[in-house]
Amino acid sequence: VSASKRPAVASDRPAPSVPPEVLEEFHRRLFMPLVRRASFKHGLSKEDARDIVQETFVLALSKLDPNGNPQSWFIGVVDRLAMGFQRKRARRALLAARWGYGPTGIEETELWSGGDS
Amino acid sequence: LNLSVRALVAAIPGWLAVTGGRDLNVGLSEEEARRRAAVLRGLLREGKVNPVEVVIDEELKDVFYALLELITAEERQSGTPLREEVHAIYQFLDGVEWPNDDFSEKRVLLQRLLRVGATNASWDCTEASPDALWNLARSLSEQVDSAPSLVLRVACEMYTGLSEGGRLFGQPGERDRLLGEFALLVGGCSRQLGRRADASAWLDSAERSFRRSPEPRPGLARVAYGRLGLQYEMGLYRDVLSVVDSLSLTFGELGMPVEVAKCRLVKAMALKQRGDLENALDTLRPVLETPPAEMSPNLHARLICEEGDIFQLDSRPDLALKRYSEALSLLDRAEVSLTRADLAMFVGGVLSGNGQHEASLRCYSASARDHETMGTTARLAYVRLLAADELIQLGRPREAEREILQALPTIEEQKMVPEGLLAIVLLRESVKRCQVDANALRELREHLRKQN
Repeated sequence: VSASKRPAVASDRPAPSVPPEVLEEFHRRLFMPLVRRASFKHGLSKEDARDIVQETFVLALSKLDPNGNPQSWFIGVVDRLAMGFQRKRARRALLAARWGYGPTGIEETELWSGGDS
Repeated sequence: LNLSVRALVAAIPGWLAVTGGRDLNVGLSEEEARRRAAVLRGLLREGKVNPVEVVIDEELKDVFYALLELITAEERQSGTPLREEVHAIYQFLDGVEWPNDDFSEKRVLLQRLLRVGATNASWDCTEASPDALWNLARSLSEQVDSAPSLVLRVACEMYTGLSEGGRLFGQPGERDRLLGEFALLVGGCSRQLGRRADASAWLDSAERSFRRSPEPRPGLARVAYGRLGLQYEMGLYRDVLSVVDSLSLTFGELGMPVEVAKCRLVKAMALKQRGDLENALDTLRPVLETPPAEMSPNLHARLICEEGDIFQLDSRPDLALKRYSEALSLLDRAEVSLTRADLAMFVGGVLSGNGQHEASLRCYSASARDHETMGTTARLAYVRLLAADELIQLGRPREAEREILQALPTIEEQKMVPEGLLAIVLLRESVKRCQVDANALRELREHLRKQN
């Protein structure tokens, strides 16, 4: 059940200060678990999941509390971004269906967004 | 390298500098993962793979996720019980070593497998090894907050199977320790689900089992904690406060810091219910200052939530909302849990106090949906009454009546003090006359607040 490996990170542009083995570990320990979460839990394609995780890292530069729990923070942000992405996709599908140029299928999910109890 | 997560976080700028605009390896494609999952499934059916020999890599992790999706979808579509197969996959995955699992992926996969396996049929423990049962007990204990009905059912089956099994089992006393664990789980879930008499009986069973085991103290202390929770829910705050400190001390001696934190939480909650908000805050403070990494995000969120609730009662809604938002950021937002349901209820309370009844109603509805999913009927009934109050404020009495009528049967099952029973009668009569008695509603809600 294994497959041929390819390098985790494109290596023709070396990181200014981070050694390649740290980047490999970063890829395995932070990047990939979050990609899997966005992909399998939220049903995104791997490519969309990758973009969301990269966006999460950009946000982490300014928003991540160094004294907090980084795993919780990453999970929370990936979930929020993934849900936002799905909402946008659903809206696009709605518009496409309304104007007759694409598939339909709306499924909006948002925490505490209302509904019947 | 085995770096800490903090060290990896420090590498984010370097990571972004190197990967910006590059094609990153994201593991297997969905199709390939599904194809390999089908192959792995075949190998598992034939018993051709041994978990000890498996070396996990990123691609195999994709395959495990795909395998879970595969069997979940199959079970949903066909309705055919997959109990044995799910059990085999569970045991296989449980035996696979998953190093550096910073995001608890293995635990999450095991929990989901457990849910798939539990939807259709019972689990068989007669052939399971003690290690597998310990892992199952641990996995169940992590789900008490999110799926109490499921945990209750599985733990109950395990307890029954284990107590009836006659063969020699594990180390001396191991069966009793496991029986104690499963009984404790059933007791805890019964309490969450509002079945207090059952909870009390199961805690007694847990105590009997632990007493028969060679090292009973940690188990007995946890039984005592279970009883403490029960006393709190029955409104016996004085009793809670009289024993909580000595129990906390015992946990400290036994080197169980998480339980010490939980004791402080219950103490703060009891003080809050007695109106002693200042001491409640003082009790919470030391645990809130504990590094979050030393406790589960759910417990940390629960502690922050309680601090927020104390602020709300102390007429400091801004601080309360700040704490609630902090707690929400710690929770897995896609996972239903009691903490999340309570948080939604607390936020609803603040919004209601601010006169934002529509928004408050949305929060109560979210809380009710979570309680409905978890089967926590007693709390659901309470949240329905809160929602009914908001609906009255919004001039929607018919909907309020519907909420009340749905809540009353569950409330009547609970042991109420006479004043509470009177409020039920008044409320039922007023609903019959199509004119909800708002005072009776509030009075009943207040009785329930003390019980919940």
